[in-house]
Amino acid sequence: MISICFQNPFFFCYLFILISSILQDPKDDVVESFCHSMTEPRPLAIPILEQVGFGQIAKLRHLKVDHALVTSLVERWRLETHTFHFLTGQCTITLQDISLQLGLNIDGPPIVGPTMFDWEEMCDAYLGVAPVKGESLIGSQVKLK
Amino acid sequence: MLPLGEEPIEEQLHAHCRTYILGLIGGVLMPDRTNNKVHLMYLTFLTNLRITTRYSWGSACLAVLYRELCRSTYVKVKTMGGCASLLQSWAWYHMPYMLAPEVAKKI
Repeated sequence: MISICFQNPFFFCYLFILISSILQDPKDDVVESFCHSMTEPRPLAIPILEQVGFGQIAKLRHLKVDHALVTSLVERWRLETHTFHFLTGQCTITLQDISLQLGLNIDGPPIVGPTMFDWEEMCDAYLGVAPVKGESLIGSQVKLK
Repeated sequence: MLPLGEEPIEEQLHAHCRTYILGLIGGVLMPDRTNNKVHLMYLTFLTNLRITTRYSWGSACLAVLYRELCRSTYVKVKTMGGCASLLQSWAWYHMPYMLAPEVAKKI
């Protein structure tokens, strides 16, 4: 039996995979997602957030993400079809799910537009604070904290 | 973020809301590889808060999540952007048997 195992070239491949899987830290394969802790919205701001349509998201900000679940879903994701391949078949996240769970608008004009603006001026006018260029304002991106 | 007084004028309150929504977009709705930064292009849609709700934020969020899922399938990628909370709540909603026992108790 042992001699048959050693004669088979695939046996060594299998052995190699087995050893490497034992040596490898399982944490290496985990896909982590970015999550930021947002502060509680001010009571005065809540009605406006509800009106604008971001009230549901403001409530969802505390949801702790299960990295193991996200990793196992990513493993079943197909690039070509944009679907999850499960044993029972394919399924995907639809716009209806978004509308039901996040309460966001799914029709109307798309989020596209020009990006050539004087960002410092815009921040000063609409956010009430002027970010320092090079520190909190890098290119056209602003730091969250 | 602009510190808000006890009785802010409407303009200050709107500026506070814009900052908060921008934080929600960059932190919860569509985080990306830059991690702690948010692109100011979203601010152009928040200038008039009355018409902000008309825009299709849902499809933008889904598009970002699809792209990030595709990016994270590569072996070397360790982090995923996009709305992971949505992915998780979608999985819980459609596959309730995957719920962790402590979460299932609360529901």
